[in-house]
Amino acid sequence: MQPSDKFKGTMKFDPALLRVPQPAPADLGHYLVMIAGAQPGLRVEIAVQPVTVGRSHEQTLVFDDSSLSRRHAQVSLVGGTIVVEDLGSTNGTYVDGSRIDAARGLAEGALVTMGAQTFKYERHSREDIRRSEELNRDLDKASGYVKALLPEPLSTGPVRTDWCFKPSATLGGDAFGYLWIDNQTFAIFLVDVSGHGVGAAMHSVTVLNVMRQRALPEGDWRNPGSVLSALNDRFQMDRHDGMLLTAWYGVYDVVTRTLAFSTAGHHPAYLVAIGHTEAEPLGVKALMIGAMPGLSYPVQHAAIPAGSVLYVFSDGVFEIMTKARVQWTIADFLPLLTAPRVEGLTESERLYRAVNEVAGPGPLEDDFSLVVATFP
Amino acid sequence: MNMQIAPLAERHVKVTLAGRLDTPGADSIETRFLASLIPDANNAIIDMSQVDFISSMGIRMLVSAARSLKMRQALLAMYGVQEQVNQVLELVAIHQMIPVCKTEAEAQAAVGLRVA
Repeated sequence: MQPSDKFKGTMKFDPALLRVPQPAPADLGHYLVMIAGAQPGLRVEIAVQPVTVGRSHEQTLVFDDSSLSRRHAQVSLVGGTIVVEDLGSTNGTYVDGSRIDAARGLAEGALVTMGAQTFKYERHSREDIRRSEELNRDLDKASGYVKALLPEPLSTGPVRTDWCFKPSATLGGDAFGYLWIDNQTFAIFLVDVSGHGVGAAMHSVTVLNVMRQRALPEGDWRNPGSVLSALNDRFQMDRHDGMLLTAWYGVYDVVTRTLAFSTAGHHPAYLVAIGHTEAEPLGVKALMIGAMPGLSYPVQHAAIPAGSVLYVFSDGVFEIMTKARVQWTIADFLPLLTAPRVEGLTESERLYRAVNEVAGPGPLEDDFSLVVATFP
Repeated sequence: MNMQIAPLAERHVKVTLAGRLDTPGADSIETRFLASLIPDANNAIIDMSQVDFISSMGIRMLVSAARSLKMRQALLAMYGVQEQVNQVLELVAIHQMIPVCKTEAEAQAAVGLRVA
């Protein structure tokens, strides 16, 4: 950049220098990315060697999928075009929903379905793929760290728990836990940091560790409102990279069978009592943690009859797009809470599978965090 | 998510949002949204009548703006919120930071713009 003669001290620069360079055609790879099936997100480059798909172990991609033939289809790069060919499969190979009866060249974005496996054809710079895989490894490490901090399910005692935590592909900021405050008082909590990625995960881990270690001297752990106020004062957004978080916190008294609870910008938890066909919302209306200092959070109480089940979950559980591209809300999810149990599945796993059944192809967009607490 | 910004008066602007204020929606407009309000400490009203979905990231964007403006003695208000979006905003008690008004006139009054 050189100073202009006309405008002393004014720097002129060529806008062309600001344009992001596009990768040369030779640097673009051909990829099939699985969007539904055994391994959503699986990415396979189609290069010199054709890729075969089927159930038998001689194939390049092998899936234990009874709707696939042993040798089902082949995908190859022919003269710069990706070509898919059915290899005489029983159930056929489909491109964009139509069964093919001869080798077919694919347009970018085409969907290829073989059995229960659906791939999308994409073109990407190999450098971008390398960086994306590096980021995914970092996200996997962060996700692994969050999982390592989650408590073991409780199968005995006056409170039984099971949970399901499925981080999204970009890792949201969910975390949850429960602990005995004393031999009579049991606390359950769930937090959701706004945003995705390592930053949100780090923030959720910080909050989670504060809760696990009860490192809030200014909070009374038996008083949900006190805990949320203390968290709010500790985690103001201007000191934490603009991040906010929502939270649900409840304290169960084993002797009185009463649950005290409060929420900060979070949807309610839901209680289903034996013999009831509807779930009771347990929540209050209050601002998210970190938005404004000095807030107080109201506390409400609920009786917990014997055999009741409490569901505490993040918005990633219900804010999904269905296969028909319809936005789900919490009202769509709630009927699942009173649906019959499935033998052999924990309650949280049952609900995760039910939500996945409704959701469009590919991984869920946000973390799926669900804690189920049963009070015998 | 689409966004239009129009001046109303000195240090008063109107922001019109249209679409989904979810993570990609908020990402697509947040920089421009904050840049149009914060540096000049513009009081702002937000027309939410064409926003049909809001997620936590959208709420974060609005809260962040309100907080920064408050530090600069400026105000933010929204109006015309659709019912399903209003349910979410009520749940998070956003009215504690940003008035949720029924009409544009009310929103203008909430940010101190005298209605002619």
